[in-house]
Amino acid sequence: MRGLLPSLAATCALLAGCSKGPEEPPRAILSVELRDRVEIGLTPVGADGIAIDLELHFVKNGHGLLDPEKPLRARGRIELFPEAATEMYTARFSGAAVPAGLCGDQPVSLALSLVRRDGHARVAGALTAYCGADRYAGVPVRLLRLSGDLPRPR
Amino acid sequence: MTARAPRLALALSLALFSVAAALPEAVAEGAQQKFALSVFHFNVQYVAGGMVGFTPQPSAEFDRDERAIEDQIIVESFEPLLDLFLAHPTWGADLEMQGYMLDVMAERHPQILEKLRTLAQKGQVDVPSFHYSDQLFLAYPREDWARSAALTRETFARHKVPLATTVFCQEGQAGPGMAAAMKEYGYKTLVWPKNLFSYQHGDARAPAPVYRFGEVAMITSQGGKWESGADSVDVAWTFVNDGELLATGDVNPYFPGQFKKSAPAVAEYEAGLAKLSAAGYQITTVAKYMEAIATVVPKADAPPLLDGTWQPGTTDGVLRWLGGRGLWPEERDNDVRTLGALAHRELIAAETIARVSGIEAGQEIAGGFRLLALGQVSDATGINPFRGEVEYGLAHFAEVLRIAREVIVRGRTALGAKVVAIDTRFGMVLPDPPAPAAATETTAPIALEVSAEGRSVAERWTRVSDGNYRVELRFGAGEERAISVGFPGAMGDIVYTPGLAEAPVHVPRGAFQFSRFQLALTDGLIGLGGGRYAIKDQARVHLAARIERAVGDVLFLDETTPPGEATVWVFHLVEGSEADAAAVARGLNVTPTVWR
Repeated sequence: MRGLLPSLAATCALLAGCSKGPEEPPRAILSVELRDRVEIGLTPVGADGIAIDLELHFVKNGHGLLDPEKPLRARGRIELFPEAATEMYTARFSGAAVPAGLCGDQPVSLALSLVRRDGHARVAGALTAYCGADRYAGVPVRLLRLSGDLPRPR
Repeated sequence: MTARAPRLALALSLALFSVAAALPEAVAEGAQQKFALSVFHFNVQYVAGGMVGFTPQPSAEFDRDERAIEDQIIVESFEPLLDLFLAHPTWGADLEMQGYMLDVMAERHPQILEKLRTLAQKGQVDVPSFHYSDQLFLAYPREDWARSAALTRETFARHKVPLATTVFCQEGQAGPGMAAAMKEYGYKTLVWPKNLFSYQHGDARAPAPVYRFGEVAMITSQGGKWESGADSVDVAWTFVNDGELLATGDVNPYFPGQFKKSAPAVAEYEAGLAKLSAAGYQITTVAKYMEAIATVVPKADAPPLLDGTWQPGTTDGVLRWLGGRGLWPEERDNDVRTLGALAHRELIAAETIARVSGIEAGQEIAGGFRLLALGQVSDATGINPFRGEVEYGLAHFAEVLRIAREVIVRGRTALGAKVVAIDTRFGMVLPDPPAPAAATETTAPIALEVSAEGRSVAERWTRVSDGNYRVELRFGAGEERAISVGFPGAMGDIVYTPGLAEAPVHVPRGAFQFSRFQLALTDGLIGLGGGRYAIKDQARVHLAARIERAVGDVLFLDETTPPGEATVWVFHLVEGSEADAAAVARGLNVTPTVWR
């Protein structure tokens, strides 16, 4: 875990969706399975309004699916559902096997799906884990519930 | 949170009554039979997602994750019942559960599954299951249930557990549209919750022992004695409730520290059954009971019945899952249920474009429908969902949306299109279509009664096509959680599409005893009389429709609007024929066309 994280986490928890500054990507702290936390950063990429770089830092607990000391990074997408005033942030993360974890000696494929309704600050969704490399559908081994306030990527 | 109905009085009180006068004559004579029946309704998603986070501060007693709670349900409350029936080979029962519970047992409790398999394969117990997840299926399109039911059959076959032909459902959901679906899927007898029956038709009229229910049969969970000539049939229900409560002495899984097997509670029930057995009762399954009385008791015609849940008096019907407020402040029914509707649309759109574009997406679609069923779990919005259960629903729906959208993007790419219009009704995809025609703003064709204390309200009507109006109600942020809209209606038949049905039905309003009733509306349609129909756009508003016996108006109420959040509800108003309205409803909520 990065040394910065505890203080940042504490500050963000108080501010409910904090931003580091206009030139930096939106970052926020979301709850994981209600009790735990993940720091999330979204950086828009290019001009199409679709691609985003996502970074997740889990605080302390990897839930048997990932090493919380190692951040997850991936290029993701913003998906729109205009008829329902809904937008979603998605990404796929290739995770290594976690010794004694839920997938045993298999690598863990992690899929992020975060939904925002009606332009609210709040997002909710999941980090869903599938056992095996490059496997992002089927029967997941675990679905981690995420929620909290997240600034919209600019 | 699962309903906790008052435990039936073990029928040892044997409050049997004669309904002979109300029933037709028997077709055979000379049989005196006594039956003791039970439906143990098990729900391994009793606390969907587990108990972690239930209390504000970490708690060693309460913080048990999803697997731990599932394991407790199986070990502490389910296995003791299996042991009870294994010890009494002549006793039978119906142990109802979602298909998912079999998967959980197979993964982590194979020895308990083997006990169930033993009892079920020899026909001592029946294992009814109508849905893979304990989902609020009456509130969603039939297709979602159909996939869930198919997965249930596959799951039972994979685990070599015979699937019963008897039906009892999560929250005691029951409705007339189930008849055809049951016939199609090989089910034979629906157990209609007695309180849902009496809520609609009063207590004065005792239910018949057996009803015709389309081409299948229906009984209620009310005991009684039927007599005709020398024939008589006594029925005592020894248990119709959450199965988790019997072996734990009425403790439920929300109290994991106390949710333990209670040997005295099991012994008490066992003694009660022994007493019934000594009195000549056959302790048996619903299916065997139906077989035994088939040539003795004729089927009666069922009175008109509406979709509902098993304790309408205490939950205000289905409202408690579609707008009604429970104990906890994090409840957000409309948010959860509308996201579920959106997930349905996206998933069937994904399946359509995958087929048209020729891409392989079988695993994604099948996995998506499984997750959709799990997300539709009733406990995400009722009875008293805490934040973890709310987020269970949202998380599953979000993952369905991701999977579906990825398939759509792949399909679109395969078709070489930048945008596609996916018509899920006709299974067509139009690459790079013209933008849909913009609706024109218009004046309100009817006056809505909107209530949203402390919130701004903006009402905007547009005309989509002849006789098809769209109204958008924008509620500003506020602290008050209850907001509602009333549609003026005229007296006349209740017109709606029952769950699992695919077209509206007419039901005479005067046939019922209730003063008001809540309907989930599988396709969003409710008749207003006078050739008008209100239709929920279920991706924007998915709340119960309150109808009344003495008034034609319809009310949609959400008591769980999150404080500080604005929200937008969208309805359509159709002025025209019932067929026109049904087409609009299906086009919105069942088989839509989406632009992606």
